[in-house]
Amino acid sequence: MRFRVSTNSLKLAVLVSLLPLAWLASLTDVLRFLAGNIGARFGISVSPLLLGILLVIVPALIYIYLTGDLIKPFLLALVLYLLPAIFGIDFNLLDRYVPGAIMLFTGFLLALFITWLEGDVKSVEGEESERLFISSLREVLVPLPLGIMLTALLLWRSSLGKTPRNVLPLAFLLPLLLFATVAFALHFREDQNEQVQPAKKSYLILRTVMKAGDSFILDVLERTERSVTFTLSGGFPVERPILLKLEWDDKAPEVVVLMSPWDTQTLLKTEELRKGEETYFIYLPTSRAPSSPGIPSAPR
Amino acid sequence: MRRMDVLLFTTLVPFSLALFTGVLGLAYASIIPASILAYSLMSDLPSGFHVERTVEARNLAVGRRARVHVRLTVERGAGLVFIGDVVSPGLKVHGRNRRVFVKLPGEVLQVEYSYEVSPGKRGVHSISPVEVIGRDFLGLFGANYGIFGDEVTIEARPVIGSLRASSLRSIRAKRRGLPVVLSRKGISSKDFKEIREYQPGDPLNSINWKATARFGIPLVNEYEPEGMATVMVYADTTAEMGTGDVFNGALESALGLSLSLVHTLLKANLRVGLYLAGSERFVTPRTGTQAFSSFLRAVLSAGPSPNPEPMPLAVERSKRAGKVDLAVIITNVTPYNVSELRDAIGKLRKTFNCRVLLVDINPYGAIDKDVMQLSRLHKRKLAGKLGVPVVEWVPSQEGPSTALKKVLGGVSLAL
Repeated sequence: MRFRVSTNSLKLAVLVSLLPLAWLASLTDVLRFLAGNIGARFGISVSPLLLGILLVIVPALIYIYLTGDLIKPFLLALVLYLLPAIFGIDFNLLDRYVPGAIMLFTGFLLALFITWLEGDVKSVEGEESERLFISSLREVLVPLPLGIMLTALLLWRSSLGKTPRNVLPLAFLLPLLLFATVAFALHFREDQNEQVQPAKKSYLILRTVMKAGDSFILDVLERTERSVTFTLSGGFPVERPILLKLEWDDKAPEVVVLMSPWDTQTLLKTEELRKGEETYFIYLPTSRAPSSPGIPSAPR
Repeated sequence: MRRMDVLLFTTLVPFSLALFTGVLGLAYASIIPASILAYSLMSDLPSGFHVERTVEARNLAVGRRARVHVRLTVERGAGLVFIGDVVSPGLKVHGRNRRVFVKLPGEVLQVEYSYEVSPGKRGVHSISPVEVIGRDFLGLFGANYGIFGDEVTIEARPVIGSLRASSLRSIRAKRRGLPVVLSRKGISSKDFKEIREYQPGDPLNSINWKATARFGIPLVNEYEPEGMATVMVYADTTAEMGTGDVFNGALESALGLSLSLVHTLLKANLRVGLYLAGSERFVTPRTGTQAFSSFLRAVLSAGPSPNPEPMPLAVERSKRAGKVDLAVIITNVTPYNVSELRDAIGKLRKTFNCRVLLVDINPYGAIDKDVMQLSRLHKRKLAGKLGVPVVEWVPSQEGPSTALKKVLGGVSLAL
């Protein structure tokens, strides 16, 4: 049987990165006392690490199963894990504490990416959503092996973070800086081949959600230098998404007002896009527009 | 907090913690988010969009389906590509019209998909231009937006109830005293109506020779037929007709019945006019089935209008109709409009000296059977005060053809 990676299985797999917290918890007197007590009362020898795993991973598992929220358990785990570092940690534990922190932090990053990507593809239903999610995550994690390799190298050089002398080797900084420079240069480069052509046609793109007729007729009611008012008449009133593309042969207005007999929306010019010889002016309802509090910007 | 800020924060926090706690090894945790950030910086947003969309049919009957086919090409960049269009609420979407695709670096994304739309009610429905949004996988660097094609309109014809010729003949037979009223063709008057294409059987003296020479096809002059009875239909499209749902409510039933009635009466060669109260649309009385398109256009995007145009005002505004033999009012009789209806009936009698037939639509059957029964009793009591024949119609129980038969029976008797 072929194992199929799914969102839920990934969420559970990420929980493995909570093991360092379970290890840290097993070092506390509370867990040692508990383990000893269980051994004495029931005659079962339980290691504090096993108890730590039970006390850390099982509640996290239940919480994630019930709420689907990965971020909060990981944030809490990070805070708990860092407490000993703030209040002082035994030097002899550093070679396990530092790799543990890196593992937990990587788990937190994965949880963050899973949450983001899950939110992005949630509009897609069924198996396609899973497929999109896995493909996206795979692409996002392409540089992860490189990051892990560099971290492993640094850990090796510093005896797992224990030898301060080798903690920040300058020899690594030069290639890192070079890499960062190349990345920034590539991101902010301008395409030299792209020639800006004079715009021949302009379009107004109006996007909003409002109560209007299910099949309306659009007319210009008023036109001033800064604003244009359109009326949407006719049809059965219904809360509906609107996406209109209107050819415009004049200077684009700053404000567009859409008036239906049941609702009025004020849209502000938010963006100007150039595509070849065409210019698009995007109008969205904003919080500044008095008639549009709480209106989502994207049509449903 | 924007995602970019979160990622920068997660890159810098381990450094700060290392300095704050003195456990310098914690700084290594920055390497992994930093590598992801650097990789994201190196890849471009999806761009170079090309979209082709074809819609199978632009003119449909309610309930019929049309396939929409979309082809998307993304040439450059990597990330998630969101594509979709906005379909007006009167169109039902079968399948998915909003999709997400993954554009991988170094390869051109070419995808095709299709979905179906079917009008749930009459009207001019639209499918917006296709919008495409390209975003990097983590949503760190904004988005590339593109809009393609033009708005596509789909004109949805209502389902028009029609009667078989035999039913029409039986109605006609009941009115033997008035053969001209429902005869296939009346005697032409001297009132010019239109120039139309020659049809076999047209008299030679009706050919318009000048127009024929100019356009190169035989054209004839058509004159208004004489002696036809005129039926004026008043359909209520005010906000009060918004009872029921958007697809099968009182308004849709009223307009569907109006069109079916107009179509049948035109086929029977009567002069028919239509006034949409509330929408202030007036189709002056005309004859011939070719005239049906004018009625269809008037009805397609009508109401329910918030314009409170009471029925007496509608009658006043339809004075131009000229001679009217019968007025058919199609409405939902309620305690709130019964006095207006009484005034309108009085005004119709005074203005046109015509007979009046009232069609009372009961939309409450779709809500509950008991509610419908109670409302029926109440409506009968209200309509009884109006002093005109009333045809009751419960759309949830009787189809449009049954309603049409009942109304035509009433028309036939009234004429």
